[in-house]
Amino acid sequence: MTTSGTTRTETVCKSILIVEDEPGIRENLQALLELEGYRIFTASNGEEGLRLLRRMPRPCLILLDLLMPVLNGMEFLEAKSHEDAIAAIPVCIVSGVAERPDMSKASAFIKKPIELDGLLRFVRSYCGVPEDRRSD
Amino acid sequence: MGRKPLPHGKRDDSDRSDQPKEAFLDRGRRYSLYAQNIIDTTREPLVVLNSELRVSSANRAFYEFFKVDPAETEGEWIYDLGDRQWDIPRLRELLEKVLPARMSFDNYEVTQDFPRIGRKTLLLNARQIKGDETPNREPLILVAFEDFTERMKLEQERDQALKAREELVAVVSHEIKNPLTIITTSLDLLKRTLSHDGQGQTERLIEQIRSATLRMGHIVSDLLDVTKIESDRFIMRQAAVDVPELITEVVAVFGPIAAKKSIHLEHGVSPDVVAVWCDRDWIFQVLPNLLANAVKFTGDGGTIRIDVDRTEDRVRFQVKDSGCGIPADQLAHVFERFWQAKHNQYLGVGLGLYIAKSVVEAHGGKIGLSSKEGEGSIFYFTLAAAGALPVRKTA
Repeated sequence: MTTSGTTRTETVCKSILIVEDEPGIRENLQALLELEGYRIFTASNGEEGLRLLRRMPRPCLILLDLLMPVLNGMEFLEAKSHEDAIAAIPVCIVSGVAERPDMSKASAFIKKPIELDGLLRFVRSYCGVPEDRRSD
Repeated sequence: MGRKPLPHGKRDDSDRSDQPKEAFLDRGRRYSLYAQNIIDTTREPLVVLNSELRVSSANRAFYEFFKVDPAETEGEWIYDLGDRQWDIPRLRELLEKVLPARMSFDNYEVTQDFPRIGRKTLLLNARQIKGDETPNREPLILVAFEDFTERMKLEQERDQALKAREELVAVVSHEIKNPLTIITTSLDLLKRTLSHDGQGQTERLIEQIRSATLRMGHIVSDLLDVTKIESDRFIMRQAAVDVPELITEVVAVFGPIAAKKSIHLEHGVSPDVVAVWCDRDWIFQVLPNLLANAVKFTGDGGTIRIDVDRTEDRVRFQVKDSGCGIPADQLAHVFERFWQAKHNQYLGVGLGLYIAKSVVEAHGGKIGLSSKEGEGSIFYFTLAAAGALPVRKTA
C-alpha cells in the first residue's frame, strides 16, 4: 500500500467520505474512524457518493469500494474526474477484487479484508490526526 | 577403361552378362516392395502429386481415412477431390510453390467438412521428391495428413475447464472477502469499545476470532494466487523497482508482527543494490511469505535478518532466522504445495512457499534455502538487477 507522500496536512479538514454498498463494512468503518476523531459521511453506491460529494464540506479523503450497484467504483472515479470542484479529492480504493485495478484516478489501493492499523496510518497521512486526538 | 566397380566389392562376373543385371533388377524390386509395405502399413494418409498437382498415387491409409477409392482419386487434380474441400487459396499458394521454388511446408492447418467422414481438422506437411529419386524421374510432391481433430477438441475442453475454474475461484474469493471484512472490523470495534474485564477473557476471545479470521483471509488469498499462477494466462507487469524502498515498506508492515513475539527484525541493503526488474505486487508477496515462515519457526525473542546484496547483474534477497530450523529430510519438499513443518500449528494451507517459488521462477530467478535443525534457516531468492530507476511519479 503506497502513499503519494505529499499530503501530510495540518489543516482543519478531517471529513472522510466512505462509499461502500455492504452495510456492515460501511457502518463499522464509520464507527472506527469516528472513534479516531474523524467526521464521516457515507454513501451506499457511486451515484449517492457523487451527489453527497457535491453538497458536503470537502473531505480530505474518499474510501471507495469498487463493486457497487447503480454506479460502481470505476464509474464513480470517471465521473468525479470530470467535475472540477471534486476532481482533485484523493481516493483510496478499498476492495476485494483479485486484480489490481486501474490506479490512474486513485491514490491508493487497500485490499479486503482490511488491516486496520495500515488503514489508520494511511488515513492519518491524508487527513492528519484530529485535534482532540493529538494528545493520544 | 574398366567397368565401374560393382558395389560392396562384389566380384565382377561380367562374362555371365545377364546375371548382374538380374540381380540388380531383383534388388530394385525388393526395395520397391519394401518401400511399398512401409507406405501401406503407416497409418498416416499420404498422397503423391505430380507437377500438375494431380494425384499420382495414394496409400491405403489415405483411402481408409477419407473413405474414397482409387478410381475417384488417381489422376484427379487435388482441388477436384471430393467436395473440392482442398480448393483453399492459401493451400494453393503453398502447393504451387513446392516444386518451382523447392519449398516445403509443415503443419498447415485445415478444418473442413469432408464428404463421408464429416468435419475434421488436419495438419498437412508437404515436400518435394526430386526427379532423380522417383521411378519416372519426374519430380513429385509428397503430402502427409495428420488428424488433429481429437487433440484440438481436448485442448479446447481443457482451456474451457481452466477458465471456468479461474472464474469460480475469483468470484468465490471475492464474495468471501466482504463477510471477512465485516468480522474483522467488528472485532476491531469490540476491542476499542468494550470496557476491559478483569481477567482479559473477552480480549482473549476477540483476539482468537480475529486471528482465525485473518487465517481464513490468507487461505483465500493463497487460493486465488495459486489459480492465477497456474493459469495459462499468468501475467506479470514488470518494472524497475526501488529495493531500499521495498525493504523499508516490508519491514514497516512486518515489524509489528515480529514484535508480538518479541522477535528482533533487522535488515541491511548493500549500497550497490538500487533496483530490481520485477512485478512489484507479486514480489511484495514473496518477501512476506518468507518472513511469515521465519516468524513461525522462530521462538520468542529470536532474530530475523533481511539482507540484500548484488553480484554482477543478480540481486540476492536473503531472510535468515534464528529459529528451530528444518530437518534435513524435509528440505527437498519445503517448496511443494501443502508442505508444512510437522510440529507446527496448522496455520494455513501450506501454499505460501509454493507461491513464492512459482513467482520467483516466473521472474527467471532462483529460490532456495539452507537450514540446520536447532540453529535456524536461511531462505534466499534472486532477481535481475535493473538499470537506472525511472523518474518517480508524484501521485
